[in-house]
Amino acid sequence: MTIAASAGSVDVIMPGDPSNGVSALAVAANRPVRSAAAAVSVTGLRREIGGRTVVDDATFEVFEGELFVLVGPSGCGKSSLLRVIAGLDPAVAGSVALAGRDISNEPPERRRIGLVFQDHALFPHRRIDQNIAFGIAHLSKRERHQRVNELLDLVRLPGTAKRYPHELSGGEQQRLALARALAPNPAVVLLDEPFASLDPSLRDDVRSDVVEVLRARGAAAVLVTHDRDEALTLGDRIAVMSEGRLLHIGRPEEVYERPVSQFVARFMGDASFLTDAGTEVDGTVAMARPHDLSVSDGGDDVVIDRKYFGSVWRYLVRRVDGSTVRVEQPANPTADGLAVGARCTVEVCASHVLHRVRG
Amino acid sequence: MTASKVTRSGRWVGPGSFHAVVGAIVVAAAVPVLVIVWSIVQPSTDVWSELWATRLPGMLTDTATLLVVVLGGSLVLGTGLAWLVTAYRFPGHRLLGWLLVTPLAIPGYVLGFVWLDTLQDPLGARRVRSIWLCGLVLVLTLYPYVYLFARAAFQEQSQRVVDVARSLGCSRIRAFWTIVLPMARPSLAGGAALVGMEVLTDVGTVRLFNVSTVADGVLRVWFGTGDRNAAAELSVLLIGVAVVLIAVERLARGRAKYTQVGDRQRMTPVQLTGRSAAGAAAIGWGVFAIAVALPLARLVSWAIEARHTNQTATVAGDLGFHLLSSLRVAGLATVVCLFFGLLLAAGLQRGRRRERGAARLATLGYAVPGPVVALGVLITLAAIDRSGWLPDGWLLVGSLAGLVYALAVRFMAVTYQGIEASLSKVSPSVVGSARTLGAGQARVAATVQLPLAAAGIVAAAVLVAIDSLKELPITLLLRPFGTDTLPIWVWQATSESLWVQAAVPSLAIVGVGMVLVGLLLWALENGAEAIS
Repeated sequence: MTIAASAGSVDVIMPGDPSNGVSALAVAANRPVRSAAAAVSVTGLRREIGGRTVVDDATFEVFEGELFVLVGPSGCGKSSLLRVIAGLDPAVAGSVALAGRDISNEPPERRRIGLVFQDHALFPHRRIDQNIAFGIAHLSKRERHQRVNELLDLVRLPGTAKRYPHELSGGEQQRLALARALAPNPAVVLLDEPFASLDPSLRDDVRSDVVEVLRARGAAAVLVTHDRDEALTLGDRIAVMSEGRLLHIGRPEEVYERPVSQFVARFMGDASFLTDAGTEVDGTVAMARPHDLSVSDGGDDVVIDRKYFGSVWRYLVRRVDGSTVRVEQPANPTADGLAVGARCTVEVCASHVLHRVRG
Repeated sequence: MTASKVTRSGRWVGPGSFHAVVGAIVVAAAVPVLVIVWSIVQPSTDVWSELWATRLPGMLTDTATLLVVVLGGSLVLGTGLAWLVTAYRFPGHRLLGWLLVTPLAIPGYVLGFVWLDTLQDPLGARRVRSIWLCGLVLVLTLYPYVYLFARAAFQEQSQRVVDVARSLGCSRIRAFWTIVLPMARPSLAGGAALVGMEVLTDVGTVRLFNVSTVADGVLRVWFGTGDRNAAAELSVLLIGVAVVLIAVERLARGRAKYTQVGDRQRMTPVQLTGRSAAGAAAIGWGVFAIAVALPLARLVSWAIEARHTNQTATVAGDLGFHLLSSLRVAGLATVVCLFFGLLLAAGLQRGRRRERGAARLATLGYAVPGPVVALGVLITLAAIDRSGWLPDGWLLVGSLAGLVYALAVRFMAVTYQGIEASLSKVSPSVVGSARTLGAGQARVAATVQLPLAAAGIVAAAVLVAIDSLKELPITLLLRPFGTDTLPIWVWQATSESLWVQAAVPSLAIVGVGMVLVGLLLWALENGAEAIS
């Protein structure tokens, strides 16, 4: 029971702690340090399809220059939420405001919201410059030309103006879709799984390209993904969504390290729940990420599986009380990892303070 | 079987003798057309120069006017109706989506005489026979081609493209004009090309309305003077118009692509209610009433009258006799087209330049109007008959074989392209898997490729059957003595303005046609592409 010993001194962080962020109540607390204006505020948005609620009471704000990521399992309503914000689908209740202006009753063409889809949704019958210029038809020919070239440079596609979308590679098509969305200087860009259709080998590059371009334009952006790693690495803030509800909004490290619920904890990464550590205080349990724990040779716990990742070992350990935990241990040049079946002892790393979530 | 091998696409390329068979099919299909083109090199005859001085300018204007009117009308009606049933939901939209295809079963010369008689009293005998009314009748019978293609194109389009357009400041209506419609253009052009070809081919409808088109001129010259050269040279004009039509679309298309990649989110239709729903339903049912329901009611009442007055037969025989002739000709033509289309699809590999050329040659007949094909076949067959290659007493001109040959030259492209398109959708890896599991070429074809392509092949065959059933100019020129089909009966009766007599065979054509349209709809529902 080594864990109990070291976790006894755990400084318990309770859910509901203002620094932690719980749904709508905590939105204000999640405002980034810099004092920016809210580019988008979504309040109490609710969408129903055939009597079924697919988005329920969605409330959040996105600030200028911020990349806000909506992450959740497929079918959780994140794309539906995006479509409601864009005005493509009607909401039953709630409102959307851009820079304080309520646009809930505006049709999509008057909302000044940019859209980027997974399948790019380029206009295959229009040249690349015509794709980009589609949303700025009201400008003079010279201004249009200038804006198109400026954007082509920005997304690093110079000299392709007279070509057709199908003549570009997948990553280039994605950048073109972004350039087209940015052309009318939208107040916010909505990206629906923008990297899902790309080859994994391309994805990292395109991701950083897209983020770079968004930063360069200083546009607020809402990105939808089901990929938690994408959410953690890209988002300034992320919102975890499940069954139509926003469960947790916060900075990536907050959501990952101090999730508000076991669901959020599990969805954002491997999590073990230690029922024996300072047991059941106020119905909460201690959550341990694999890197919060360490394992040493000899003891009452048993290694039941192991995986080698080069820099780390990942162990699945069955503990004396029958529960299993995942432990990540840096690989050691002078010692091989523990074998499957080996007796061992799991401990909480000395400097780590376990977060407690509701049971 | 030394020369046989499986190609990269998994298609079978046979041994040398098979190549020879395919080559023979290509030559047989192309010769009648090339014969006509060749005729332009021969010096003009008197009839020809006289025509040029007198009636030809009129023929050209009438043909051009009719083309513009019918193409424009079919595009508007076909596209509009297709958009109505795919983008909107209103009571009965599903049933209407099917019923709007049924005018395909009604030949223009049938709808023509019904409306001619109906409008004769209010408009007067002279004004009713106008090129505009003729155009309207052709639009009402031909728009389904555009409708089918447009509907397939709209159903394939991604909702997301429209969504993006709207987020970029486009209203719903503007998105339709700038995105939806241009993206559907290749399909619309495909439908329009079929319509254009039918207009150039038509002789029955234009004769009813006293419109003298070039096709009508070819028939008149042939029957009136028997001058083969003059008729053939006039035919070259028709081929020229067809070629120009096709070239214009090819040029206009350029490098742009029209298909979208990636997983598509289908269009989400808009639910109409109240007055707008009633309006949408009224438009759809209105077209159906004018093009199908009212004419059918009229035909039925005439047919009853014909029964009472004993006008349900001709000198050649009764309804059963004509129906049998029609079914025999249409059935044979369909089987022949299907058989040779399959051989061609198996023998010609997609993509190689030489074989692409051969495929184009073999399908030349489809870009050539019916009267021209008939004339080309007639000239070819007459040459063979004169050559003495055939056993004594055998004559191809005026034989059933000759007629079926001509129909095959005209319609084989439909089956070949339908089979080819359906087969190319069968993934090479599926064929490869079957082969590695130990199935031979024949078994793979029978158990994998053909079943997967079945719906497309059925759709192609049905289109050929419908076309040959309604076919008039080729049958008129080449039918063997005693083979009087239903359209011939209608043609003879309507030439004398005997509407009551024409009603019975017309109803028979429409009846068989409706069964075939039903089959076509079944095939389309089961995954057949609209024929491209």
